Amino acid sequence: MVSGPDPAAPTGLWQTAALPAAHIREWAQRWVVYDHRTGETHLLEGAAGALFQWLHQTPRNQRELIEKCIQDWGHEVEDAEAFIEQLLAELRRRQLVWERS
Amino acid sequence: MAVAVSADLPRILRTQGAPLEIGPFIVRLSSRLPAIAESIGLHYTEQLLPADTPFSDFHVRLDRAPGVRGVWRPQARFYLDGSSPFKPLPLSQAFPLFEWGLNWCIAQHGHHYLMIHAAVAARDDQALIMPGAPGAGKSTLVAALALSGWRLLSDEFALLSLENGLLTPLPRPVSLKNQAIPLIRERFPEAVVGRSAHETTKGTVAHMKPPSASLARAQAPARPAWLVFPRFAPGGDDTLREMPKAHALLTLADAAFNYSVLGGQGFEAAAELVDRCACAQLDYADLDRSLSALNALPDAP
Repeated sequence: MVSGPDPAAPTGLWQTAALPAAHIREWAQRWVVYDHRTGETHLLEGAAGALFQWLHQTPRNQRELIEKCIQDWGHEVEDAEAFIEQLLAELRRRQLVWERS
Repeated sequence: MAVAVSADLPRILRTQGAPLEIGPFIVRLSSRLPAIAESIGLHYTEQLLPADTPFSDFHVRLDRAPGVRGVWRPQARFYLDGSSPFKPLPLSQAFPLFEWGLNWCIAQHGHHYLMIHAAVAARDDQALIMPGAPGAGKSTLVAALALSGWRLLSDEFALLSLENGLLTPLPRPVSLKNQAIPLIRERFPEAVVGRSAHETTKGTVAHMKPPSASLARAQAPARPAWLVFPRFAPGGDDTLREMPKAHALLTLADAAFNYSVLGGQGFEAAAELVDRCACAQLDYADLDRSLSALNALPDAP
Protein backbone atom coordinates (compact mmCIF):
# COMPACT_ATOMS: atom_id res chain seq x y z
CA MET A 1 0.00 0.00 0.00
CA VAL A 2 1.30 3.41 -0.93
CA SER A 3 1.14 5.68 2.11
CA GLY A 4 2.99 8.78 0.89
CA PRO A 5 4.88 10.39 -1.96
CA ASP A 6 7.21 8.18 -3.92
CA PRO A 7 10.51 8.27 -2.02
CA ALA A 8 12.25 8.07 -5.38
CA ALA A 9 10.71 11.36 -6.53
CA PRO A 10 13.22 14.03 -7.58
CA THR A 11 14.51 15.86 -4.54
CA GLY A 12 15.93 19.00 -6.15
CA LEU A 13 14.79 22.18 -4.47
CA TRP A 14 12.26 24.31 -6.28
CA GLN A 15 12.27 28.02 -5.71
CA THR A 16 10.76 31.16 -7.18
CA ALA A 17 12.68 33.33 -9.61
CA ALA A 18 14.65 36.16 -8.02
CA LEU A 19 12.22 39.04 -8.54
CA PRO A 20 12.01 42.33 -6.63
CA ALA A 21 9.58 42.14 -3.72
CA ALA A 22 7.72 45.13 -5.12
CA HIS A 23 6.95 43.11 -8.25
CA ILE A 24 5.05 40.41 -6.39
CA ARG A 25 1.63 41.44 -5.11
CA GLU A 26 -1.09 39.41 -3.46
CA TRP A 27 -4.73 40.19 -2.86
CA ALA A 28 -7.19 37.62 -1.50
CA GLN A 29 -4.93 34.71 -2.41
CA ARG A 30 -4.52 35.91 -5.97
CA TRP A 31 -0.99 36.74 -6.97
CA VAL A 32 0.14 39.19 -9.63
CA VAL A 33 3.80 38.91 -10.55
CA TYR A 34 5.71 41.25 -12.83
CA ASP A 35 8.78 39.73 -14.43
CA HIS A 36 11.17 42.46 -15.51
CA ARG A 37 13.21 39.93 -17.49
CA THR A 38 10.38 39.23 -19.91
CA GLY A 39 8.08 42.21 -19.37
CA GLU A 40 5.24 39.77 -18.65
CA THR A 41 2.64 40.25 -15.93
CA HIS A 42 1.30 36.98 -14.54
CA LEU A 43 -1.92 36.33 -12.66
CA LEU A 44 -1.71 33.27 -10.44
CA GLU A 45 -4.94 32.06 -8.91
CA GLY A 46 -6.05 28.97 -7.06
CA ALA A 47 -3.55 26.15 -6.87
CA ALA A 48 -0.96 27.91 -9.03
CA GLY A 49 -1.06 30.89 -6.68
CA ALA A 50 -0.80 28.68 -3.62
CA LEU A 51 2.17 26.77 -5.02
CA PHE A 52 3.90 30.01 -5.93
CA GLN A 53 3.27 31.24 -2.40
CA TRP A 54 4.71 28.07 -0.84
CA LEU A 55 7.86 28.38 -2.91
CA HIS A 56 8.06 32.11 -2.33
CA GLN A 57 8.10 31.44 1.42
CA THR A 58 10.88 28.89 1.19
CA PRO A 59 12.39 26.56 -1.42
CA ARG A 60 10.94 23.05 -1.21
CA ASN A 61 11.56 19.78 -2.97
CA GLN A 62 8.88 18.02 -4.95
CA ARG A 63 8.22 15.51 -2.20
CA GLU A 64 7.47 18.29 0.29
CA LEU A 65 5.16 19.93 -2.21
CA ILE A 66 3.27 16.71 -2.77
CA GLU A 67 2.92 16.21 0.97
CA LYS A 68 1.58 19.72 1.36
CA CYS A 69 -0.81 19.17 -1.51
CA ILE A 70 -2.16 16.04 0.17
CA GLN A 71 -2.34 17.74 3.57
CA ASP A 72 -3.86 21.07 2.49
CA TRP A 73 -6.07 20.01 -0.39
CA GLY A 74 -6.88 16.38 0.44
CA HIS A 75 -5.60 15.00 -2.83
CA GLU A 76 -4.87 11.30 -3.25
CA VAL A 77 -1.18 10.58 -3.55
CA GLU A 78 -1.17 9.73 -7.26
CA ASP A 79 -3.33 12.72 -8.06
CA ALA A 80 -1.12 14.98 -5.97
CA GLU A 81 2.04 13.88 -7.75
CA ALA A 82 0.57 14.52 -11.17
CA PHE A 83 -1.01 17.78 -10.04
CA ILE A 84 2.21 19.17 -8.55
CA GLU A 85 4.17 18.14 -11.62
CA GLN A 86 1.67 19.90 -13.84
CA LEU A 87 1.72 23.08 -11.72
CA LEU A 88 5.50 23.14 -11.55
CA ALA A 89 5.73 22.63 -15.31
CA GLU A 90 3.39 25.57 -15.90
CA LEU A 91 5.22 27.87 -13.47
CA ARG A 92 8.55 26.82 -14.95
CA ARG A 93 7.23 27.50 -18.46
CA ARG A 94 6.43 31.01 -17.28
CA GLN A 95 9.97 31.22 -15.82
CA LEU A 96 8.57 31.97 -12.37
CA VAL A 97 10.12 28.95 -10.63
CA TRP A 98 13.21 26.86 -11.20
CA GLU A 99 14.70 23.69 -9.82
CA ARG A 100 18.00 23.88 -7.99
CA SER A 101 19.71 20.56 -8.46
CA MET B 1 -3.14 82.13 -17.07
CA ALA B 2 -5.89 82.06 -19.68
CA VAL B 3 -6.58 85.16 -21.75
CA ALA B 4 -9.86 86.49 -23.02
CA VAL B 5 -10.62 85.19 -26.48
CA SER B 6 -10.89 87.89 -29.05
CA ALA B 7 -11.69 88.43 -32.68
CA ASP B 8 -7.95 88.08 -33.09
CA LEU B 9 -8.08 84.32 -32.60
CA PRO B 10 -8.29 83.41 -36.31
CA ARG B 11 -5.37 85.75 -37.03
CA ILE B 12 -3.30 84.34 -34.17
CA LEU B 13 -4.01 80.81 -35.36
CA ARG B 14 -2.97 81.79 -38.89
CA THR B 15 0.27 83.48 -37.80
CA GLN B 16 2.29 82.61 -34.69
CA GLY B 17 -0.22 80.04 -33.41
CA ALA B 18 -2.37 80.00 -30.29
CA PRO B 19 -0.88 78.46 -27.13
CA LEU B 20 -3.35 76.28 -25.27
CA GLU B 21 -2.80 75.19 -21.68
CA ILE B 22 -4.07 71.63 -21.51
CA GLY B 23 -3.32 70.24 -18.08
CA PRO B 24 0.45 69.85 -17.77
CA PHE B 25 1.03 70.44 -21.49
CA ILE B 26 1.18 73.57 -23.61
CA VAL B 27 0.14 73.07 -27.20
CA ARG B 28 0.82 75.77 -29.77
CA LEU B 29 -1.78 75.35 -32.46
CA SER B 30 -1.62 76.96 -35.89
CA SER B 31 -4.33 76.70 -38.50
CA ARG B 32 -5.89 78.56 -41.39
CA LEU B 33 -9.06 76.52 -41.18
CA PRO B 34 -12.16 78.50 -40.14
CA ALA B 35 -13.62 75.34 -38.57
CA ILE B 36 -10.61 75.06 -36.27
CA ALA B 37 -10.87 78.71 -35.24
CA GLU B 38 -14.55 78.22 -34.52
CA SER B 39 -13.98 75.06 -32.45
CA ILE B 40 -11.04 76.47 -30.52
CA GLY B 41 -13.12 79.58 -29.82
CA LEU B 42 -15.91 77.38 -28.51
CA HIS B 43 -14.03 74.71 -26.56
CA TYR B 44 -10.72 76.20 -25.49
CA THR B 45 -11.52 79.83 -24.67
CA GLU B 46 -10.55 79.37 -21.03
CA GLN B 47 -7.32 77.59 -21.91
CA LEU B 48 -5.83 80.12 -24.30
CA LEU B 49 -2.54 81.60 -23.16
CA PRO B 50 -0.97 84.86 -24.36
CA ALA B 51 0.31 84.48 -27.90
CA ASP B 52 3.85 85.37 -26.79
CA THR B 53 4.04 82.41 -24.36
CA PRO B 54 7.64 81.35 -24.92
CA PHE B 55 7.53 77.58 -24.44
CA SER B 56 5.33 74.85 -25.89
CA ASP B 57 5.43 71.06 -25.54
CA PHE B 58 3.84 70.46 -28.92
CA HIS B 59 3.76 72.58 -32.07
CA VAL B 60 0.71 71.43 -33.96
CA ARG B 61 -0.66 72.64 -37.26
CA LEU B 62 -3.98 71.74 -38.86
CA ASP B 63 -4.38 72.74 -42.48
CA ARG B 64 -5.82 71.69 -45.75
CA ALA B 65 -4.06 68.72 -47.25
CA PRO B 66 -2.21 69.83 -50.39
CA GLY B 67 -2.87 68.26 -53.76
CA VAL B 68 -5.35 68.22 -56.60
CA ARG B 69 -7.72 65.95 -54.68
CA GLY B 70 -8.40 68.83 -52.31
CA VAL B 71 -10.21 70.69 -55.08
CA TRP B 72 -13.25 68.41 -55.12
CA ARG B 73 -12.81 66.58 -51.81
CA PRO B 74 -11.05 68.90 -49.34
CA GLN B 75 -9.18 67.28 -46.51
CA ALA B 76 -7.46 68.37 -43.32
CA ARG B 77 -4.00 67.23 -42.31
CA PHE B 78 -2.40 67.16 -38.85
CA TYR B 79 1.23 68.24 -38.50
CA LEU B 80 3.44 67.87 -35.44
CA ASP B 81 6.69 69.81 -35.61
CA GLY B 82 6.25 70.01 -39.35
CA SER B 83 5.79 66.31 -40.01
CA SER B 84 2.46 64.61 -40.61
CA PRO B 85 2.06 61.28 -38.82
CA PHE B 86 -1.49 60.51 -40.03
CA LYS B 87 -3.50 60.24 -43.19
CA PRO B 88 -5.62 63.31 -43.90
CA LEU B 89 -9.32 63.27 -43.06
CA PRO B 90 -12.27 65.08 -44.62
CA LEU B 91 -12.22 68.78 -43.82
CA SER B 92 -15.43 68.40 -41.82
CA GLN B 93 -13.43 66.22 -39.38
CA ALA B 94 -10.68 68.79 -38.79
CA PHE B 95 -11.46 69.34 -35.11
CA PRO B 96 -11.81 65.63 -34.25
CA LEU B 97 -8.52 65.15 -36.11
CA PHE B 98 -6.91 67.76 -33.84
CA GLU B 99 -8.22 65.99 -30.75
CA TRP B 100 -7.14 62.54 -31.94
CA GLY B 101 -3.75 63.87 -33.00
CA LEU B 102 -3.31 65.46 -29.60
CA ASN B 103 -4.04 62.09 -27.97
CA TRP B 104 -1.22 60.66 -30.02
CA CYS B 105 1.16 63.47 -29.04
CA ILE B 106 0.46 62.92 -25.35
CA ALA B 107 0.70 59.13 -25.59
CA GLN B 108 4.07 59.46 -27.32
CA HIS B 109 5.59 61.91 -24.88
CA GLY B 110 3.98 61.69 -21.44
CA HIS B 111 6.16 58.97 -20.00
CA HIS B 112 6.66 60.71 -16.69
CA TYR B 113 3.13 59.43 -16.00
CA LEU B 114 1.52 56.04 -16.14
CA MET B 115 -0.97 56.88 -18.88
CA ILE B 116 -4.18 54.89 -18.68
CA HIS B 117 -6.87 54.94 -21.34
CA ALA B 118 -9.57 56.12 -18.98
CA ALA B 119 -12.04 58.84 -18.20
CA VAL B 120 -11.48 60.54 -14.85
CA ALA B 121 -13.74 62.67 -12.66
CA ALA B 122 -13.34 63.80 -9.08
CA ARG B 123 -15.59 64.48 -6.13
CA ASP B 124 -13.97 66.51 -3.37
CA ASP B 125 -10.58 65.76 -4.96
CA GLN B 126 -11.21 62.02 -4.73
CA ALA B 127 -10.86 60.62 -8.21
CA LEU B 128 -12.97 58.07 -10.01
CA ILE B 129 -11.00 56.38 -12.78
CA MET B 130 -12.96 54.60 -15.51
CA PRO B 131 -10.72 52.66 -17.88
CA GLY B 132 -12.44 51.24 -20.89
CA ALA B 133 -12.16 50.24 -24.49
CA PRO B 134 -13.87 52.42 -27.11
CA GLY B 135 -17.61 51.98 -26.80
CA ALA B 136 -17.54 51.12 -23.10
CA GLY B 137 -19.44 54.31 -22.28
CA LYS B 138 -16.72 56.13 -20.39
CA SER B 139 -17.09 59.42 -22.31
CA THR B 140 -20.85 59.49 -21.81
CA LEU B 141 -20.51 58.72 -18.13
CA VAL B 142 -17.76 61.25 -17.51
CA ALA B 143 -19.67 63.95 -19.41
CA ALA B 144 -22.75 63.28 -17.30
CA LEU B 145 -20.69 63.28 -14.10
CA ALA B 146 -19.00 66.55 -15.06
CA LEU B 147 -22.43 68.09 -15.62
CA SER B 148 -23.66 66.75 -12.27
CA GLY B 149 -21.20 68.37 -9.90
CA TRP B 150 -18.13 66.22 -10.36
CA ARG B 151 -14.89 67.75 -11.60
CA LEU B 152 -13.75 66.63 -15.05
CA LEU B 153 -10.13 65.56 -15.04
CA SER B 154 -10.02 63.81 -18.38
CA ASP B 155 -12.06 62.07 -21.02
CA GLU B 156 -9.23 60.03 -22.48
CA PHE B 157 -6.19 59.79 -20.21
CA ALA B 158 -5.67 59.10 -16.54
CA LEU B 159 -2.27 60.69 -15.93
CA LEU B 160 -0.93 58.97 -12.83
CA SER B 161 2.16 60.60 -11.39
CA LEU B 162 5.02 58.16 -10.93
CA GLU B 163 6.34 60.38 -8.14
CA ASN B 164 3.37 60.78 -5.84
CA GLY B 165 0.55 58.57 -7.17
CA LEU B 166 -1.77 61.53 -7.72
CA LEU B 167 -3.79 62.15 -10.87
CA THR B 168 -2.96 65.19 -12.96
CA PRO B 169 -5.98 66.81 -14.65
CA LEU B 170 -6.05 66.93 -18.43
CA PRO B 171 -9.35 68.73 -19.05
CA ARG B 172 -10.20 68.71 -22.74
CA PRO B 173 -13.43 68.53 -24.71
CA VAL B 174 -15.24 65.26 -24.11
CA SER B 175 -15.64 63.24 -27.28
CA LEU B 176 -19.28 62.17 -27.52
CA LYS B 177 -20.17 59.54 -30.07
CA ASN B 178 -23.38 58.64 -31.86
CA GLN B 179 -26.35 58.18 -29.47
CA ALA B 180 -24.46 59.84 -26.63
CA ILE B 181 -24.72 63.20 -28.43
CA PRO B 182 -28.52 63.62 -28.26
CA LEU B 183 -28.54 61.85 -24.90
CA ILE B 184 -26.27 64.43 -23.28
CA ARG B 185 -27.87 67.35 -25.12
CA GLU B 186 -31.34 66.38 -23.93
CA ARG B 187 -30.42 65.33 -20.41
CA PHE B 188 -28.19 68.38 -19.83
CA PRO B 189 -29.42 71.34 -21.92
CA GLU B 190 -26.70 73.52 -20.37
CA ALA B 191 -23.94 71.39 -21.95
CA VAL B 192 -21.86 73.21 -24.56
CA VAL B 193 -21.63 70.76 -27.44
CA GLY B 194 -20.02 71.67 -30.75
CA ARG B 195 -20.86 70.68 -34.29
CA SER B 196 -21.25 67.03 -35.12
CA ALA B 197 -18.75 65.45 -37.51
CA HIS B 198 -20.35 62.61 -39.42
CA GLU B 199 -18.97 59.44 -40.94
CA THR B 200 -15.78 59.45 -38.90
CA THR B 201 -14.09 56.16 -38.04
CA LYS B 202 -16.07 56.34 -34.78
CA GLY B 203 -19.37 57.28 -36.39
CA THR B 204 -20.80 60.70 -35.58
CA VAL B 205 -18.66 62.65 -33.13
CA ALA B 206 -19.31 65.90 -31.27
CA HIS B 207 -17.24 67.44 -28.50
CA MET B 208 -18.50 68.82 -25.21
CA LYS B 209 -16.68 71.72 -23.60
CA PRO B 210 -15.40 71.00 -20.10
CA PRO B 211 -17.39 72.88 -17.45
CA SER B 212 -15.72 76.11 -16.31
CA ALA B 213 -15.52 74.87 -12.73
CA SER B 214 -13.37 71.95 -13.91
CA LEU B 215 -11.12 74.24 -15.95
CA ALA B 216 -10.69 76.58 -13.00
CA ARG B 217 -9.11 73.69 -11.07
CA ALA B 218 -7.09 72.30 -13.96
CA GLN B 219 -3.87 72.47 -11.95
CA ALA B 220 -5.22 70.71 -8.85
CA PRO B 221 -4.33 67.01 -8.74
CA ALA B 222 -6.72 64.45 -7.29
CA ARG B 223 -6.23 61.37 -5.15
CA PRO B 224 -7.30 58.05 -6.70
CA ALA B 225 -10.23 56.58 -4.78
CA TRP B 226 -12.31 54.42 -7.12
CA LEU B 227 -11.42 52.30 -10.10
CA VAL B 228 -14.55 51.40 -12.04
CA PHE B 229 -14.44 49.45 -15.29
CA PRO B 230 -17.56 50.33 -17.29
CA ARG B 231 -18.93 48.15 -20.02
CA PHE B 232 -21.83 49.23 -22.19
CA ALA B 233 -24.29 46.40 -21.73
CA PRO B 234 -27.81 47.05 -23.09
CA GLY B 235 -30.11 45.27 -20.68
CA GLY B 236 -27.54 45.54 -17.89
CA ASP B 237 -28.66 46.50 -14.40
CA ASP B 238 -26.25 49.44 -13.83
CA THR B 239 -25.02 48.08 -10.54
CA LEU B 240 -21.45 48.19 -9.33
CA ARG B 241 -19.94 44.77 -8.68
CA GLU B 242 -16.79 44.44 -6.67
CA MET B 243 -13.87 43.34 -8.82
CA PRO B 244 -10.98 41.31 -7.42
CA LYS B 245 -7.97 43.59 -7.17
CA ALA B 246 -5.70 41.12 -8.96
CA HIS B 247 -8.09 41.10 -11.92
CA ALA B 248 -8.32 44.89 -11.77
CA LEU B 249 -4.54 45.17 -11.99
CA LEU B 250 -4.35 42.94 -15.08
CA THR B 251 -7.15 44.87 -16.78
CA LEU B 252 -5.54 48.16 -15.83
CA ALA B 253 -2.21 47.06 -17.28
CA ASP B 254 -3.97 46.29 -20.56
CA ALA B 255 -5.52 49.75 -20.56
CA ALA B 256 -2.27 51.64 -19.92
CA PHE B 257 -0.65 53.13 -23.02
CA ASN B 258 2.89 52.97 -21.65
CA TYR B 259 2.79 50.11 -19.17
CA SER B 260 5.39 48.11 -21.07
CA VAL B 261 7.51 51.20 -21.70
CA LEU B 262 7.76 51.90 -17.97
CA GLY B 263 8.52 48.29 -17.01
CA GLY B 264 8.70 47.64 -13.28
CA GLN B 265 7.98 51.27 -12.49
CA GLY B 266 4.70 50.96 -14.38
CA PHE B 267 3.78 47.78 -12.53
CA GLU B 268 4.51 49.35 -9.15
CA ALA B 269 2.45 52.46 -9.98
CA ALA B 270 -0.46 50.36 -11.24
CA ALA B 271 -0.31 48.03 -8.22
CA GLU B 272 -0.29 50.97 -5.81
CA LEU B 273 -3.24 52.47 -7.63
CA VAL B 274 -5.22 49.24 -7.37
CA ASP B 275 -4.24 48.88 -3.74
CA ARG B 276 -5.60 52.25 -2.74
CA CYS B 277 -8.81 52.17 -4.83
CA ALA B 278 -12.10 50.39 -4.42
CA CYS B 279 -12.39 48.32 -7.61
CA ALA B 280 -15.64 47.53 -9.39
CA GLN B 281 -17.23 46.67 -12.71
CA LEU B 282 -20.22 48.53 -14.06
CA ASP B 283 -22.59 47.10 -16.64
CA TYR B 284 -23.80 50.40 -18.00
CA ALA B 285 -27.18 50.44 -19.71
CA ASP B 286 -29.11 53.44 -18.40
CA LEU B 287 -27.44 56.81 -17.80
CA ASP B 288 -29.52 57.87 -14.81
CA ARG B 289 -29.21 54.53 -13.05
CA SER B 290 -25.47 54.39 -13.62
CA LEU B 291 -25.09 57.98 -12.45
CA SER B 292 -26.95 57.10 -9.27
CA ALA B 293 -24.64 54.15 -8.68
CA LEU B 294 -21.53 56.28 -9.18
CA ASN B 295 -22.89 59.12 -7.04
CA ALA B 296 -23.49 56.62 -4.27
CA LEU B 297 -19.86 55.50 -4.14
CA PRO B 298 -18.80 55.82 -0.51
CA ASP B 299 -15.99 58.25 0.22
CA ALA B 300 -12.56 56.72 0.51
CA PRO B 301 -11.30 56.44 4.10
